[in-house]
Amino acid sequence: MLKKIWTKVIYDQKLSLGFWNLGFIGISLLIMSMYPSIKLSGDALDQTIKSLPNEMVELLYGGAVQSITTPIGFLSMELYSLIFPFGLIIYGVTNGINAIAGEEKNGTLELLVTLPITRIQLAYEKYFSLVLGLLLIIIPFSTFIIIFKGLFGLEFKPILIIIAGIELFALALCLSSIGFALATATGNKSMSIGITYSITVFSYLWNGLAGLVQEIENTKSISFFYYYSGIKPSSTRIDIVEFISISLFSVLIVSIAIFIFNRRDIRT
Amino acid sequence: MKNIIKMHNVSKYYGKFKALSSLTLNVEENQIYALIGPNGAGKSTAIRLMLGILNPSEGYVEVLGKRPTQKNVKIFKNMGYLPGELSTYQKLTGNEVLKFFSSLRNIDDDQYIRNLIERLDYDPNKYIKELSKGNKQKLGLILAFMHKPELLILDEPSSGLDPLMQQITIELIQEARLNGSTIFLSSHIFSEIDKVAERVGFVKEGKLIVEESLEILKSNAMKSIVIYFKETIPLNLFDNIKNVNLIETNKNVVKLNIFGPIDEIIKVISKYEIIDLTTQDPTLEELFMNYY
Repeated sequence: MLKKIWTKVIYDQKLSLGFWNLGFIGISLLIMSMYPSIKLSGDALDQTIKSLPNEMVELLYGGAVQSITTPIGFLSMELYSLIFPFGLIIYGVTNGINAIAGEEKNGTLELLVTLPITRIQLAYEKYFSLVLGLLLIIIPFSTFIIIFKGLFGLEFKPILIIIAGIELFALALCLSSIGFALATATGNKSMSIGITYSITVFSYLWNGLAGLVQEIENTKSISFFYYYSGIKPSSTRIDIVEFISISLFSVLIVSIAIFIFNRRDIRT
Repeated sequence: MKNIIKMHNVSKYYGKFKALSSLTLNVEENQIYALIGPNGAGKSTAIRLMLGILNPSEGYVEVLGKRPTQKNVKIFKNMGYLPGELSTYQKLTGNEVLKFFSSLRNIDDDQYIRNLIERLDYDPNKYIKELSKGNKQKLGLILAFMHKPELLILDEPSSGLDPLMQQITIELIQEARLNGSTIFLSSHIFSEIDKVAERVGFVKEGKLIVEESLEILKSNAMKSIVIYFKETIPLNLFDNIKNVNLIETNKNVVKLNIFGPIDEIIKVISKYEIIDLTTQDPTLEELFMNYY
């Protein structure tokens, strides 16, 4: 595991990745086990949600409100609207920012950049480990939901979980890439954290607001959350153009950052 | 003789602060060069410029015949670096750190690494976070020497080490030199530089104020001489010799300081019968103090 930069990152994160997986699977189990009782008292809950102000529903669920008594609606509202996306964004942004800037702050980058490997290779291996880390969280909990959904009476096609997983990955990767790019280009961790989380919150709120305010409705697509639809009965295919666009955006900003990193002074 | 390190008119600014000012220095192949200066004089900045960690604001740097930029990353294969303060992965053991760095350097045979571990009496099973400053320094030395590089850049190599390990470090440096390596070091430990360096540069406030071979530097520096004559000598005996500073004359014993060669003094005193003559060369520390 200590033979390459990217394998070392995964090795370093073995405990942390274990806990992230435990957290995601644990919360999935907890929420899924609640479904049978929710289904029984579902009508009352549906009424409560319907009675909430539209603005609140739009901000909390991005307008994708379905009946909480249906398996898809239940998982969407309980897991895929807030917990999963924000959990993954926190993991991805934290690790993206620490990838280069964390090593720089700790002083460990000084020795790494005097090895016979290019900074480009170093940064891309770090980025690859970030991508891999996200997949190592998304794949286990998605597989867990697919395997155990039947135990709790959650009947739906597994493809919906796979599509939602891919969209989650694209959303988290996109925001993690912004964090990675800012921190790698500047070496400034605290500034990168501030800007990335501001973009995340702004993006989330804009997606909700644009659904409410007619004047800005056309600008909804500037939000990264616009491209994430969570889990929906209609989402049985991935929008390839959107997925490629988001992936290209991530690769582009990361490449620009690595170009800058390749030329800048290392903070010591 | 080929220059392994060339720094030409190199300046480095941090905003308005000038950390290094028009530094020009050359280190020849198979030479041991020591850069000396107080804290904040610019020694570590000069080293980081040689390693491409920093980019020069003005001038240029060449190491092993190439600029230390990302285009020439292969030169790092032949370079070993010991930072002034080693920061490495706290949660790994020494063995894991050595394994990681030797993999990235493509070192297959770890026999020399084991040899260094033994000589430096380093315990690689301990976690980095458990290590004292001295033990971290030992690990840093192993990381710098483990691939037998052509060029060693060592920032304070003996820092934090006990006298025995300082001696072993000196031996390692001398062995590397015998095996053809070029060594550039910065140090505060004058006895260490005195023992190993062939050429020294004094840096002050980002400027190189003097650069010379240690031998010449010492021969041109002030020497103390005590002469015991058999008989009383005239008081004005040394009046016509330049650069002599008479400290004490007591009948037949003369104490004096002289800058530069002592042949004039020898000529004058040879006319008298001498019982004893002692000369004391300045230490590097005394030389250093003269410049600061």
